[in-house]
Amino acid sequence: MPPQPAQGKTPTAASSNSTSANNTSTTSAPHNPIAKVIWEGSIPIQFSWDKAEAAAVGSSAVESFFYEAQRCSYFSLLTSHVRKHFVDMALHFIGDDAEVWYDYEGTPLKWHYPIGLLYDIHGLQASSGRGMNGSLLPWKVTVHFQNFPVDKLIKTQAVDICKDYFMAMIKEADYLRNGTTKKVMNMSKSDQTQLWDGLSSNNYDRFWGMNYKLMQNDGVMARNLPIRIYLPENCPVIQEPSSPVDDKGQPKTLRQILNASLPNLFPLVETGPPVAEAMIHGVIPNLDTSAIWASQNMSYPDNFLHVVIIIK
Amino acid sequence: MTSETHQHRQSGPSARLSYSDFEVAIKAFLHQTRHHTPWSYVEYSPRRGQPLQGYLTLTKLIHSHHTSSGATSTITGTFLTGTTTTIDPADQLLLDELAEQLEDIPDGDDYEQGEETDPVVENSSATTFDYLSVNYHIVFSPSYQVPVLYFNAYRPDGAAISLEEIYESLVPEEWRGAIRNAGLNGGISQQDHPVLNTPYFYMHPCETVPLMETILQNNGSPNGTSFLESYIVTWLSFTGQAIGVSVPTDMVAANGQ
Repeated sequence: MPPQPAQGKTPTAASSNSTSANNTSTTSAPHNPIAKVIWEGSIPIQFSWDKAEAAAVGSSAVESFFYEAQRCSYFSLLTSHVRKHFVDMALHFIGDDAEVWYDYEGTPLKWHYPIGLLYDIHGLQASSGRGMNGSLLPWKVTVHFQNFPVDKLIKTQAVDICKDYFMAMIKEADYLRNGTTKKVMNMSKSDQTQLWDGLSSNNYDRFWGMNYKLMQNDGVMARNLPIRIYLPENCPVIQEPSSPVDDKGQPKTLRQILNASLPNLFPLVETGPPVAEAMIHGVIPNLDTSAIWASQNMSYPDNFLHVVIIIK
Repeated sequence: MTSETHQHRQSGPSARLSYSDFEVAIKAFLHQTRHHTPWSYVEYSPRRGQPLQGYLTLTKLIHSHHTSSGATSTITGTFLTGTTTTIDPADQLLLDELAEQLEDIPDGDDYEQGEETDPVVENSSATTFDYLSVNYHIVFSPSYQVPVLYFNAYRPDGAAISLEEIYESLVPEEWRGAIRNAGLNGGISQQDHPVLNTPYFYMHPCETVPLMETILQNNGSPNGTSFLESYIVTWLSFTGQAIGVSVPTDMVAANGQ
């Protein structure tokens, strides 16, 4: 059972061996089995070169590239590996990593969304949860080296812009928690770097050593939890300020948070079989879970809880 | 919006807005500017079961011309009604008329006073006309609880322009350095439009609250309503100037104190 927060206090993320000397250049992460499992979550992806592009250069029999992608990572961070495979396969790619883009069944994939979130949306949500048995894996993604769709995807200068976007999300999460972005803006360059480096090099200790401080929030209860909710069919993303406690100061459950935005899909009291489910990192958490606990332990590295709604 | 958006509001006027504050503010602005600039109110349904919400849009034609001597070009603006990104025939006629007049009148007829920019454009060809169609959207940010200015610019062939071209075409030269260096990654970047879910450029909103709070303190309007009614005019006169949209100076004088 996840630890429940004491009233009025910010609960700590599940920790036993807490960190000591925070003055070291890399603070090691506290012991947190839930965060570790989420960090290690991965999806096997099969990258295939767009058929039309391949045909245009006379290469129609290029093998796919299979890669076990970290759910918490971003496609931008995979591009150099992907490109290397196809270049080795004799694709003469002269352009920029910034021209590379990915699609799934014709839908361009937003490179600024974490890979796990994209799979949850385009794979699991789109199949109304049927893909949860693993039948959609390996995830078949098409890679393009040209004709970047600027009307559909944010233009990238490859990894730098991905880092910028990631830090903007961290900043926004901080603003939601505290009403200002002072904490993030006052982070030293090396602290900011530690966050991004930890993520991009898949180093849990490096990332969580710094992220732990953001999640702890100096023991101050968050004003609002950073949550984004994704409905099917390209509905505008729901991002409404969600207080972690109710009028009486009691910690809210995930059910209460979802009920505030989607009362018909998530009634407070279930009168029949559920019409919808909430998925985070490809799993359906118990809706009685404390929302603040979920925010601190189940957020993506960008500090947001990205919740995908599966309509049954 | 849920009642939670009201939890942190002060009893008096606040620089942070709830969505319903925002709606009051943009409707007031729409009314104030109806004779000056054709802002439109666009309504949409966030999702089933939610009341409709809205945002403001404006399409503006920015034209410039440069001569073979290479030096000066003048960017002035003309407004198009409606919110399309393509140029419809009526507006094309307007553009052609303006093109004729440009030879005689160095600075075209402006709807906005004091809004000219004079970037130096190097071009070795003969006199040519370029114009950009620029869409501006004023959309509410539920995270920052302030309006956010989104925009996109297109060449006549419909092609979208890059961030670099945005800086060169829309941002006054003397502001470029400051905006590029603002914040974590520059004052302008791209984001998914919160309603349309396609890429738009936008001005980072994190400076808006401190800015509006300062104005609120200095002008201390005891009547919450008039602060809301002048919110957009005030906000846009700061934010919009940086990227080619503003409010007529006489309006700012009338509404600001």
